[in-house]
Amino acid sequence: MWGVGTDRVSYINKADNKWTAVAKYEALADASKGSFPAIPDENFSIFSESSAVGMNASSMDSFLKNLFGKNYSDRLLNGIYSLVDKDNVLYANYNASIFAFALNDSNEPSKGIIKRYALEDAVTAIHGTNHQANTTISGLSMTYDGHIVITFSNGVAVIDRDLNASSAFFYPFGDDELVTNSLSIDENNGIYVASNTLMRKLVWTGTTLSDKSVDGAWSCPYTHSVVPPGGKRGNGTGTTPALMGFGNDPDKLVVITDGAKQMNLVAFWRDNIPTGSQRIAGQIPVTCGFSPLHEWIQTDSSVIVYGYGAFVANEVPEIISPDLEGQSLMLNLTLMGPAYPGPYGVERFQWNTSTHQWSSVWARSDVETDSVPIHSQSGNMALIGGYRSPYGWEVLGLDWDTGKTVHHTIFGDKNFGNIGFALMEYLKNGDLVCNSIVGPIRIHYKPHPRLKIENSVDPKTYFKVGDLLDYDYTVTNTGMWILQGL
Amino acid sequence: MDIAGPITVEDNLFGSKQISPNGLAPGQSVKGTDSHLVTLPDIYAGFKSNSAHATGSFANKEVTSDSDTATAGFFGPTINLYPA
Repeated sequence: MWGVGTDRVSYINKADNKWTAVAKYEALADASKGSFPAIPDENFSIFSESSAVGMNASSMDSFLKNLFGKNYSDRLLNGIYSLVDKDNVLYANYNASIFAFALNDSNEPSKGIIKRYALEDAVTAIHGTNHQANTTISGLSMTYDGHIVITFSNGVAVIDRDLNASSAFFYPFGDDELVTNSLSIDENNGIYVASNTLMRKLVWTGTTLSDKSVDGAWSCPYTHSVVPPGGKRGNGTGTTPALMGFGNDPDKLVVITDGAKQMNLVAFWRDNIPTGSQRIAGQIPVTCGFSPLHEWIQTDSSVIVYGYGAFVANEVPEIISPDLEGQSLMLNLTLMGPAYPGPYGVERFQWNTSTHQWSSVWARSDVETDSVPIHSQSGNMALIGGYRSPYGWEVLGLDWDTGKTVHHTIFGDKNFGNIGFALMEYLKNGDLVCNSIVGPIRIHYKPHPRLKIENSVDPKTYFKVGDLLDYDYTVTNTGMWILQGL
Repeated sequence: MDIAGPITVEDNLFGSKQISPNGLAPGQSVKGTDSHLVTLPDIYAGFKSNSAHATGSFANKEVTSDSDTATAGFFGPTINLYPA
């Protein structure tokens, strides 16, 4: 199994239900040619076992500089988009490059990881030396015919899997557009990518990226406003488009949240527009149950889709401390929650395929989020990670139908419980994998069943023979799952 | 985790009694009451204690709570034997 971090890639042996890294490659140190040197594992452990409680922006900044170097904040967005092809080649972004990693010997993973292909300085390699300043990589995916698709901040490129720049086809967006998210691809190689102003469908024909309606391509404006506080990039959507409706499902949609200060959940028709409708099939305000509404309700995490249900999380705190204004994403990630107010609020929606309308199913304004939410089919719940007193860092499972809390994993105050907008995943044996801010954590839950009884009697002290004494019992299930193997 | 039913309470005054045929979800509670008729020996003793514990099951294994004791005290009325 591949492991991808912001600094390195690893190959992990899963034998005997134990996870052991048998090979690693310091990808960021390589891609940056030493400007981001490899970090000793001990430094990650120190950070992992520490807490941000009681810290402020200045003290955390010093702490992070000591552990991860002066340029620690620029380490964060590396390796965040990755994929593996049918030949077990791993593609991931480091610094401005895209690397393809493979095992030196597929029969003996401990012989190490090699860099099989590289697209060094991908922006210059594909755009040429006169590219726009500040052009960045913002996503990575693969077409159904096996081509790599790269989202840049100003367009989309398709390239062969050997990353040969001469094979690249680049589709530029408008000069006033900014892409800050990755992309989704349907089974017909429809490529869905949103800039800050337009939702686009491009079509990979096998030889070119088409924006022609005859090939099924389209674009559609959506609402955008201004850049919110708290680390979200851009004034448009913060979400990678999510596909809704597959196979014989009646409605085929692509779903984002828009860039309004109090965002809307927006569904676009992926293919033909039904008679009487328009490209935007429907939209609904996201409130997260706030009353009165917060000034900002925005997200940087994709809409979670299951069937025709959708789930979104607000990621802008009601109150942004002046200490955090203009600070790096890393400082916001480490301090929001334990040191400064964090973002609260989630909401579940349902798309009605008969009326072609959204409706709100439930909202929770009392839960805090700092993770990309996921949906658990077996648990019928949405899972979020966040920080709340008195629990500290936690994972909450919210029933998909009612919103009630049906799962609660409590990590406490140490930084390893900070999921930091990485992904979580449940394994088949019920273990939970949290890709936390300091690396992956695998959690095994050991049952700890407990009952508690409280016995009480009338406190008065005057009784006579023949009086009735009532002993009242309250029996409560106080059992829990204890975490093991952190 | 769910605790499977039935939920029973056993104490030193009333023996074992089922207070719910059903199990308990996490954090869920069930209540029950037992009534004791005060006797003259109770009054002479000055108090009456009741220690109870609850039982359910998880994964077909018995789960038993710690016991909790409730005590009623008998302190009156009094007679003034030395009127002023």
